[in-house]
Formats: sequence, C-alpha cells, structure tokens
Amino acid sequence: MKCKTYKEQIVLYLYDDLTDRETTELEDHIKCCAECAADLAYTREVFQILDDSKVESVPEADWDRCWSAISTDITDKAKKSERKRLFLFPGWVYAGASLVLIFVLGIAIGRFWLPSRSQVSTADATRVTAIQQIGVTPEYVQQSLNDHFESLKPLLVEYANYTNEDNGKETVTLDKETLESLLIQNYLLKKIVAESNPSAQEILEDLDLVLREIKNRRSDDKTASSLIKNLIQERDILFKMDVMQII
Amino acid sequence: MVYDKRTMDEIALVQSAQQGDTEAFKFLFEENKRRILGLAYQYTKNIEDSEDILQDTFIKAYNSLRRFDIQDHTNFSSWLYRIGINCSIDHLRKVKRDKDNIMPGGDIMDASAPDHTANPHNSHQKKEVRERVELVLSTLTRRQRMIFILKHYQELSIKEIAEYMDCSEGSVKKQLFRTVSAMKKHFRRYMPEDSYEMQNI
Repeated sequence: MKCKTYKEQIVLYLYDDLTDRETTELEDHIKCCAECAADLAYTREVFQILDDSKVESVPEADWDRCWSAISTDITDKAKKSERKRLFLFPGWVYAGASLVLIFVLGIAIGRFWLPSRSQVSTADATRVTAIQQIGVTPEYVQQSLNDHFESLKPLLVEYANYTNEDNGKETVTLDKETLESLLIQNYLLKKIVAESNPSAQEILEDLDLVLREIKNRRSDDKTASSLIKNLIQERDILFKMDVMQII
Repeated sequence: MVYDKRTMDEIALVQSAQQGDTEAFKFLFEENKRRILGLAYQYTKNIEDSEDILQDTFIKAYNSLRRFDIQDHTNFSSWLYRIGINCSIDHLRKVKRDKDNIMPGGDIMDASAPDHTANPHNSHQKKEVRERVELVLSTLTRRQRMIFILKHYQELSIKEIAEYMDCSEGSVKKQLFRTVSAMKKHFRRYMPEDSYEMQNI
C-alpha cells in the first residue's frame, strides 16, 4: 500500500474504526515510515485540539416550554385531523356537490313550484274580474263615467265650436300633465267597462282618440284643431256623452 | 391512562402514541430529549436553536409516527435520532439563509482572521479554539459537518453514521478524511514548531 492510503487510514485509526488486520498493517508501516509517523503525531495533536473544543456539558433546556410547544402543535394537528375525519371526502367534492344540488333545486323550483305562463295569464284575468266584481259597483262606474264626461265637456265643446278665425287658439287651456291624467282615467274606465258596458266603451275609445290628438297638437296648428272638431262631430261624442249621463 | 415508564417498554409507548395518546408520546420525549438536544447543541452551539431543533424533531416524529413500522426492527430512538439529524441540517440551512439575507456575500473566513499568537493548548483560550473549529466547520457542507459531529462528538461508528446519513460507509470515511484534513491545514500554523516541521517532512 502507498503512504497516501495509510494517511487516509490514520483518521480511522485514531477513531478506532479500522479492522484488526488494518490496524496491524498501519502500525507496522508507521514503524518504518517517518512521514506517516509524523502525520499520525500531527493528526493526534489536531484531535487533541478538537477534543478540547468539545462541549463538555449541554446547557439545561427549558424542557417544560419545549414540551408545551410540542404538545400544542400536536394537539392542534389532532383537532384538525379529527375535523377532517368528520368529512369523508376532500373539500372540493362538497363544493361541487353543493353546486349540483343548487342547480337541481333551481330546476325543481322552476318546474314544479313557479306557475307556468298560461297559469300566469289565467291568474291575471281572474284578478281583473275579481276587481271588477268586488271593488267596483255599477253605480260607482256610472258615477265615475259621469264625472269623467263632465270634466271633458268644456274642452270638447270648445273644439266642437272651433272656427278658422280662432287661429288654433284655445279658450280652455290644459297642460300636458292634465291631459295625461285624463288619458289614464279614460283608459282605466275603458278597462272597467270593457265587457259590462259596450256603449260606454265605444265612447271612451273615441275620447281616447280625441284626447291623444289634443295632446299631440301644436298650439298654432289649425289643421289639427279642425281634425279634432270633425272627430267630435262625426262621432257624435258630445251627444253620446249626454245620453250616457242621462241613462 | 397512567403509564409507568419503567415497566412499559418503548414499543408499547410507540404503539399508544400511534393511536394518538399524547401522554405516551410525552414519555418518549422524556426518554430521548437529552440525546436529541445534545446532538442539536453540538451542531449549532446555541441553546435556543437547539431547543427549536428539539421541538421540530418531536413534532415531525409525531406527525410521521403512523409510518413508523414497529415490525421493521427499527429502534424508535434511532429513528428519532435520524429525524433529529435532518432537523439540525435543515435548521442550519435556514439559519444560513437568514444570515445570507442580512449579510449577502459575507465571507466567514475573512470576517474573523486567525490570530497567529493564539495557543490552542492554553486552557484560557479554549473558547477561541472552539471558535476556530467552528470556523473550519462553517466552510464544510452541512452533511460533512454533520458526519464529523456524529463521529467526533457523538462518537458513533462509521456504520451507524452511514445508516443515519443514508450513504455508504466509504462515503462517510471519505468525508471524515476531508474534514480532518481541513482541520489539520487550518491548525498547522498554530502548532508548535516541531509538529509543523514533522508535518512538512
């Protein structure tokens, strides 16, 4: 063996980690090799330094604090694993299942609970009939019609008496909001009398037409004023209104 | 459940701890704490760091306890010791990273240049010698450092070290030789003249 190999073995020799045969071989070699003997002596000295640097006693640890930290950690983990054990599957499975459940419930509610369109239409019709039957008496309807006609008469008379000399100017002036509310009132009455009083409904439809024309005409529009006059006269609106009020 | 640690052997304690009995695990802690702390302290030379390593070791051991196979003829203490070694190496890695973050590119060897007048044989300078040994160890890899500590300070056999470090005995011998060579090189300048001359023969 070469000195290099023996020098490598010196470390193990000092650690007492050579076999008996290796130990004998190295000791024999050192007896006749000054270089390896010097290396052994020097290594032994370094080992002495290293031994001197060895920590003789380890300072006492705060064992209670250490165990407390360990205990807290493992208890927390145990609680977490216990919580995990309650759920058989990972969290994403529950999230997915919830979504599917919501979807299925949505379909079920839409299919079985909410009324269909035809059912909604029927319900609307029933509701209208109920209003007509319960809240509105024929006397009340008649009174409402009379009041409505009364409020419209001055306006209609003025348009019925319109001449070209008036240059489209009105003596009875109504703002747009008043006309709008008259139109709404007309519409509601028309709805209420829809089936029960066809004659009244006819007059109300004519009035609807006239009121819209009045609402849309410009203040100096002679043509529109003539048109409205013709409408009132041709359809005998004022006469019909008087008859209806007498009835 | 009350345990008498004198009568209940390690296997029974491990089995109980595996079933979640923290009291049994505490007995295992009591039995092994000094050995793990000794290893960690020898490795870090710092009691606070050693306590951290001790805690990490037992927490990791508890978390891996279900994987510890009693039938595998593995001694629990050896298994725990192996975890302690890994925790120590990991801890040093973390400490080094933190240190690098504070002083990037810092050279430990240059930072504390050797004092040529120091005499390692003087007991008053023992602390300084320890620092020098630490200086050399800090230039080694973490595995080399651990192998040296396990051999020189924990006095384990080459075979045991190979098992703990999960490498061959040949590799352990090689790492040890390199470490001692580094020590010899570093301390050559502090040796008495005759030793120095002998080294240069």
